[in-house]
Amino acid sequence: MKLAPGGLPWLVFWDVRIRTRTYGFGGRPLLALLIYGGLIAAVHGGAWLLLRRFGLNRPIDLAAPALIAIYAELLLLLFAFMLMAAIASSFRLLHSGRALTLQLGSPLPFGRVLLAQVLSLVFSTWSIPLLFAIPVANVSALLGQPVLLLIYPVTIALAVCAQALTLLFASGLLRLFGVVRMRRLMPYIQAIVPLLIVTLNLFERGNPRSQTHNADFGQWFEILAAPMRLPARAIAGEPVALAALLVVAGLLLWLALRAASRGVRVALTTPDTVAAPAARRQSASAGLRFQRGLLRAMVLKEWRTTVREPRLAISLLATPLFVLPLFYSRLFTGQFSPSMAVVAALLATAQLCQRTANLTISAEEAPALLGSAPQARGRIIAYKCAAALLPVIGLMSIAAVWIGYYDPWRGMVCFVCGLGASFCLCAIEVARPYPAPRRSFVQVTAGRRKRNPLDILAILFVELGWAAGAWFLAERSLWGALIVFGVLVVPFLQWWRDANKQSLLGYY
Amino acid sequence: MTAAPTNAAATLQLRAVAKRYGDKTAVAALDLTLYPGEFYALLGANGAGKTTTLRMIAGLLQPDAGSISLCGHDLATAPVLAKQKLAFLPDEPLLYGKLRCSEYLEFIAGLWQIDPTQAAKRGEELLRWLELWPQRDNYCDSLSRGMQQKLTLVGALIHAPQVLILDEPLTGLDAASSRKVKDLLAQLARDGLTVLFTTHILEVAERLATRIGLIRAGQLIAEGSLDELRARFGASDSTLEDVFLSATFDGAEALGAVGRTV
Repeated sequence: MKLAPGGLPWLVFWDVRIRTRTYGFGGRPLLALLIYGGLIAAVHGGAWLLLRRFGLNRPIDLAAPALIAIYAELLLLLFAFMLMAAIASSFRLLHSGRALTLQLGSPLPFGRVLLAQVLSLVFSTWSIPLLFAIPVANVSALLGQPVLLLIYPVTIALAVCAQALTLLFASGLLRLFGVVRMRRLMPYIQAIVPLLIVTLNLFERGNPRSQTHNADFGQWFEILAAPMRLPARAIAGEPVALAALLVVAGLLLWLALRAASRGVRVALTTPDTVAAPAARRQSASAGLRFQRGLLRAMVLKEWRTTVREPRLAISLLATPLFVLPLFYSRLFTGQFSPSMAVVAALLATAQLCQRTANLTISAEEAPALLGSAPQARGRIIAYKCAAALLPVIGLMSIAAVWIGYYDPWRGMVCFVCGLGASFCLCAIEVARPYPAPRRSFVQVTAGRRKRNPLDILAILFVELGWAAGAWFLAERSLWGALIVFGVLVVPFLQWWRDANKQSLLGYY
Repeated sequence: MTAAPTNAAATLQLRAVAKRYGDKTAVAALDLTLYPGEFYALLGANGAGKTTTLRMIAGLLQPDAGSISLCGHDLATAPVLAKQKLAFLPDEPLLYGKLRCSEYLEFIAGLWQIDPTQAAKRGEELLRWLELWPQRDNYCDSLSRGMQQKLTLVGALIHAPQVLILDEPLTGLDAASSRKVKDLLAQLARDGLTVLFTTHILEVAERLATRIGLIRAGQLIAEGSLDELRARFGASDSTLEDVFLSATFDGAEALGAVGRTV
């Protein structure tokens, strides 16, 4: 089918094509097929096991009220994740003026360009149920419940709703604060987004089926879950509910585009610059004073360039917050065991280290300067690793000492595993073939999105592997040591995979 | 304008340097010798191999064949000693937006491991000369493009290099700044600095260069002083632009001239 140039489908096609091109494994279709095919098979296998575990691998009455209630709760959680993704992508849209220069300078109407962008964002928001809910529906359909395939239009409609709601929210903020202030506010809002899941978790305690049931929260959970009964009924096969959901999604999108059009246009055409900070006061006669030492110079340079970019600093500090929702309910219901504290500290450490290592090692603002400097590449990279590791080890040591105060063994496990995970994550960053340029927050974010999926898999494997290893070691099980040895292989595999390591920093 | 001096030791020497990107030959068996105090312009059309050559000299790209030596130190076997003598300025300023200008210079002094007191003194002199002294405590990203270019030049010169490699050095500079930079570079060349630069603004090369090399498809097709090039490719009153167009776009004639000129 040939799409008419300049039309909405044509614009969406090109936008989605550009967004997804980076996940193509550099034009190696067989590798991409193997990895994506493997992933799809794995999530479907997991879905089948899940259905078997709960005895749902046989036809059941989908319209039963109890089942509708469960669907609604699950959809509420899914919608919360979609909202988180939609907030991030809507905020990114407000920064993408430079990337859209061509479209904005073309004779195409702005409304069409914006709609194409929003639809493309809906596509990326919809990728969340692709991993969680849709495999379950697919397997259920194969097991005799084809009506559950309605999850496709339902989740697409929910993705449209999430995107439209966040666009309305962003447009409200734009009207309230203006573009420049809004851009300053955005990282703070993104930093507190994980609290959405925490709040949901809190309200979930009002659910009578919850293990940590607390009646005080009952009505709140009912209120939150009520709107999700409509998509839940649509999944169960009610055509009226499905039609109503699609109408609601369409209306919300129309409303959002109408309300946000002007604000987004202003944001896209306002340069992405932060006002220059005031110069440090210094008397006119004071000369320059330099200090000695490359390690000091390198570490200070990395820290200064990170903490002085507010969006980077906040996103970095917010990283451990994303671990919080995982442990929230257990933390506040007295079920938080010391071993779980080790795992929580380790996950937070690994998340933080992954970000600091990515920033200091892989995102270099002036690689040609370092590459042409009379220093061995290995030395520069070692100092960059030091800059990444020092703050992480400092913070992790506090957690280890705190845990060690109650249980010295677990404290030691926390420290050693935290150290191991941090070193592994640094090694993976060092092994990356090409570090991304780093001129701004937007470039760093774009660089992270362009990562090779194998890098992402390696990082996930290391983070979760060390966490699992730490759990078993904290429980004094030798399985922990075995897992740790397995995880240690990952950075070596990364090194073996590509010979052009850190080539932007010169080749000596 | 004078031709290459031959009575001094070469500061930069390229011997049969080659680089390929897949099937495409970017640089093919390039020989180049530069002497102290020379101001050498490497000119060529887009994709001719100029930037690849400069990046190989700066140690950012590994040549597939050949050798590069800086002040007698081979870049492959003694890279630290070789790079100590070198400063490289690509067309994009090599700055850290969130460092203050003075911190940026301190970082470079640390990278080149030069004495902090001497570096501070030289940095101050250069900042004052290029009228950046009032901006010394501003963040680099608050400077205009021209100021950023000048600050990068200060960073390149702070460690007193013997070879300066410049890729489009005057991009983004206003007329006054451009004049200042040109004067500074000419003065440094008179003091013995070897300058190798590329530019698409041929008037700059015409005014500054003591020797000009014309590169096409990774091959040096001609080099010499402007007068020598005029004699081969144009009339005695030809501009460098006439010579450049004649040499780089008249394939057969130009290639025929290689043997006579190089």
